[in-house]
Amino acid sequence: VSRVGRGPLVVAGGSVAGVRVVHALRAGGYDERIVLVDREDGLPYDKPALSKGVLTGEEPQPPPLLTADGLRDLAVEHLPATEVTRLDLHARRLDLDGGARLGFDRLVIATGSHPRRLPALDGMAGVHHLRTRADAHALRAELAGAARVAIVGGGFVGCEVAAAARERGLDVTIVEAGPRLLGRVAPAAVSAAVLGLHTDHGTRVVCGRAVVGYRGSPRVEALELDDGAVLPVDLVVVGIGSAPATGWLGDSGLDVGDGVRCGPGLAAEGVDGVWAVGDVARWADVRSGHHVRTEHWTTAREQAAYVARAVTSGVAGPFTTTGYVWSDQYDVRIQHVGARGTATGEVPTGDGRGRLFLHRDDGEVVGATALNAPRDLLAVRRALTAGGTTPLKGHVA
Amino acid sequence: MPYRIEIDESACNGYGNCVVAAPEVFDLDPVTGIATVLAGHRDDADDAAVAEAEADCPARAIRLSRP
Repeated sequence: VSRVGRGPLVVAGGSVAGVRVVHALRAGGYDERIVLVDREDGLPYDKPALSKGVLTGEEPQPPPLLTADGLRDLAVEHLPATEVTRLDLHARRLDLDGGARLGFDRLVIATGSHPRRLPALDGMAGVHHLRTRADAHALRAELAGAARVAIVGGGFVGCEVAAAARERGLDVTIVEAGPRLLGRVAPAAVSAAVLGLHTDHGTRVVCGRAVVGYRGSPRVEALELDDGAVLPVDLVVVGIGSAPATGWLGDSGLDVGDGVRCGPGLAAEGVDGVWAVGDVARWADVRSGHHVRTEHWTTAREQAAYVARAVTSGVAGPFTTTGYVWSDQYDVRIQHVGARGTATGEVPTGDGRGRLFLHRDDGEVVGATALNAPRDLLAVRRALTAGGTTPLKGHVA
Repeated sequence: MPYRIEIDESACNGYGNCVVAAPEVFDLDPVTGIATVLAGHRDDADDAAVAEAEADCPARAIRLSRP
């Protein structure tokens, strides 16, 4: 039975992954109806600047992913400020908030993720999370009137917000429950370099301490840490990771434990014509042999382009990515590619500027992290992109 | 259709996505770390990889102007 003609291709989610799917579908010659459903108001925008230039004020608005003209040129039906509330796979239909229903022929799930919350602080005035344009603007407005800010969580987002707040002249403390900054993504040597970066810029970093409570009402005035310390604050930003936005899929029949479970080709397992891309996708990664989920801009775009190709050409080999991430903190561009390996060593950069860390498994380079060394990082990235792993033994650029 | 590739050097942050997308056309400058167009490619024939590089730039620093 042909599915064609039963309904549009629906993309659920209008961030970088969802919008890229639409672009790539049209570029690939797909000429069926496309509907883009986005929970956010207005035109789709790009998120990386939200934890950087939008907070410092350097780039007050995040850049658009699509203009009104672009939407028209792509012939996309755009439903902004619309939440998808339920997926009925049997009827191949979505429920939208407000009661409308939307049938689909094919579905690309790109609903992203929500910031994780800290139960100890939930609902307090003066406590912020950062995910959307509205979040960033609310946080920026409060940064303007604050003197002391605590960042709970020392991952990329927490570190970036700390740098932005410090650039605004605020007194900044990062509180990380784990033993070091970037502990989930980076080896210890990289964490040490990033720690130095923050302390050099006057940001205090407290690792190995959890927030157990607060003082103040209705607005937070201090954080209580698990060693008894009390940290006076005007403002708190919680950046402790994110959880895939799958609440609307609860009774769909899809496996949504930590993201939509997909096969190697990003197709949702157990169903035809449904894919997931971006933060919400947990796919069978053939390189690692595990189901993995990433929250990276570049990987989201790669996944989107891959799924668009799968739709237009039917080709569906395994999706692979080298995993490229960047983070801008103060005047330093941190770039990472590949895996963290089992052993990390710092090597000289090609021109003596910046710092480069190579990550190895059994002597073979499987990843790298650079601080202000873009060409060195690029050399590793190109080698990994070409060959999966690289025989580089310490000579790059 | 031919086009002209322009790089906004004040916007470019040296992410290198363009070099990965179109290695024949882009590189990062050895001195500045900023994207450059390799000699002979500034007015290139239309090319999917270059369009990819434009779209993949996180800083939106690449412009393809078509006359």
